Amino acid sequence: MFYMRRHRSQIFFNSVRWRYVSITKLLNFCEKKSADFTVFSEEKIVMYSREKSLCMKGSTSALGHNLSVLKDTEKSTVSYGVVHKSVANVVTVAADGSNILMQRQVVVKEPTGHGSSSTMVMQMKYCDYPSRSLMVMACQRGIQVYDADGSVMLYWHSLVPPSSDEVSASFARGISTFQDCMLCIGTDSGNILIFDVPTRGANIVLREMLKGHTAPISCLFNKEDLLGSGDDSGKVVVWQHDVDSNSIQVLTTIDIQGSPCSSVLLWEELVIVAYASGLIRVFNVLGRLHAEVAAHARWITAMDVAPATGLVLSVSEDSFAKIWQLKSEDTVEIEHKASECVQDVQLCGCRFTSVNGSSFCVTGYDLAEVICFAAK
Amino acid sequence: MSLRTLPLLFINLGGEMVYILDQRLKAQVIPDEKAKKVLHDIVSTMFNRRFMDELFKPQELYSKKGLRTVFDRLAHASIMRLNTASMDKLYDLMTMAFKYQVAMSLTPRDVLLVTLNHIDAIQSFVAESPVISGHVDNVYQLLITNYGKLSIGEFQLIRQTLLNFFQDMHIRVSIFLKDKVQNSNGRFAISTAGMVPYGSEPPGIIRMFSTEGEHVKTASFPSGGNYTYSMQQGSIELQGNRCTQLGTNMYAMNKPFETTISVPAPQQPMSMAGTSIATR
Repeated sequence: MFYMRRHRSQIFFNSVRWRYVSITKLLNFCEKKSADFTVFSEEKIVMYSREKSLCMKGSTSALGHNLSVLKDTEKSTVSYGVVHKSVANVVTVAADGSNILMQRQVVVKEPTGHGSSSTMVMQMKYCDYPSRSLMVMACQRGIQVYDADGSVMLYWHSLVPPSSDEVSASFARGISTFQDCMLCIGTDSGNILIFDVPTRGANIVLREMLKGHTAPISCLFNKEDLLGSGDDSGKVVVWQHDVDSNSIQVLTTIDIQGSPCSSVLLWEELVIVAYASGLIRVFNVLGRLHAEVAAHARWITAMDVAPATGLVLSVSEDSFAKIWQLKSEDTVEIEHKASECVQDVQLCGCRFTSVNGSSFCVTGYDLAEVICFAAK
Repeated sequence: MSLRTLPLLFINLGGEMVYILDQRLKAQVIPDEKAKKVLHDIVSTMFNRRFMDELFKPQELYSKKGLRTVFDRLAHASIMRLNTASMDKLYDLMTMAFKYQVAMSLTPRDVLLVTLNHIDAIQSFVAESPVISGHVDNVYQLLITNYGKLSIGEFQLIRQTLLNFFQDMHIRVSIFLKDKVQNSNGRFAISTAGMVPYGSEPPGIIRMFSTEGEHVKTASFPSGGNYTYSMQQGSIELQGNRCTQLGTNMYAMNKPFETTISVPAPQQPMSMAGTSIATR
């Protein structure tokens, strides 16, 4: 193709000399293998439309990952949980979205009464296990585990040594299940606490502490036998659980300093990391960088993935929710599919509400509702 | 949340208080001598060394009531007298202004720059008194010592603590409504145009890398906004360029019109001009 063009341009040479010069300039440009510029066409953009919002009893606090959704297929209900200071506001609706079945405020108090009245919740997450679901609260100075509807506190773990007098600055942040039988919670010291969760009852036991980070943990994500963890320095660690030896080891460390890692996802062989700078990077599980996206203009506060289709949802304080398509067949690619702007709202939580990613919901600071979107 | 939030909360609210009182004193044509005395007394009480040392110790934020009591006492530390209604309005204005500054900060570290803007302005109000100026310098040093080396993650925690303290406050402030930075429902307007934080990249680019780690392909997508690079990082030096307007005196830039606030209920906007500041 290259030689044919040259030949053609030489035919034109005698008649239009300036055109020959510009054609060879064009050929030189095409020859460049790097920085090949393409613009994705409008046809590939998917549109989501806003659905009816779900009203919550209180407004949303400015935190990362401030939305958790639990689907109970047996009872055909969907529960939404959003943190408001020291309270988790929970709403359960019928699966078809018609009725609000239950609303509750789970107030988190410090069991020992450490002098302060109530303790701030850093993150609340529904943890889904094969035989049960739990509501886990990562708080200042400790962790509390409730049953799925938030009515009974099952377990409390304090991060403060009992002999200490001073007010402790410690907190827990980052919550994930692991291999369908464990619960992982990150702390401000960088340690990740691993608990064994029984199939019934309150006998939750701390089994070990993973020490791979020195900065506060910001997020945890589990996929099968892998656990991804990110911290405030920008470091990401992928851990692997070996069933035979029942031990958890470091598989990969991705240490790009400079901007806090605010969210981590695992999909297929990929690790997707969102940063405070608004960047999203796609690595493989062994740490090789595949792609980098300048995705948002502000701190990315939460991400979610639809495992069935490889759609990724990211939200940010810039008021945008953006949808990306991951591809991992021959080459790894990430493509922008949609942007939805929630006017004047700093978003701080997001979840896909369908397995294929055709619907999602978000929360925003100071807003007392869960905003829902569905693909047209 | 963060145990280092209280000093920033107190200093910034105090700074806003000084701005508003200065504007009211000028608007009511209070004699220069008295006006200066009011501001000097308030600043010297605010930055009292023993109080500052206590303030900078790691601790939880005061409750909303507790903080309000502190500012009530502060406002009456001078010859100025405010009735309850005026004090309410003053406090509402102070808190909404600082909430706006925290929410609109480009990066979490800008909360420190906003504080330094307030300190810079307070310094100019008390420049004539070497003693009080010394107090302000002391606070500047405390700020740099305690916050100068904090990480971005720690600043974000501080910012989140402040935002959650101000949650559910939607008082409409006429100066914000006029400048269209606040909507009629009390929420702040978030622009989809403007600068991205220093060191960040405007959204819209996807870069792909080869197996050898080389950048091989670039694609673009519509960012949904109109963003540009930040050219300069704000400085925390004593005389440095803060690079942000947040925390500067927004009343000084405007002509002397009423600093009014309104409550989102069907009432007429209340005016601070009607209630006066009296001085003994």
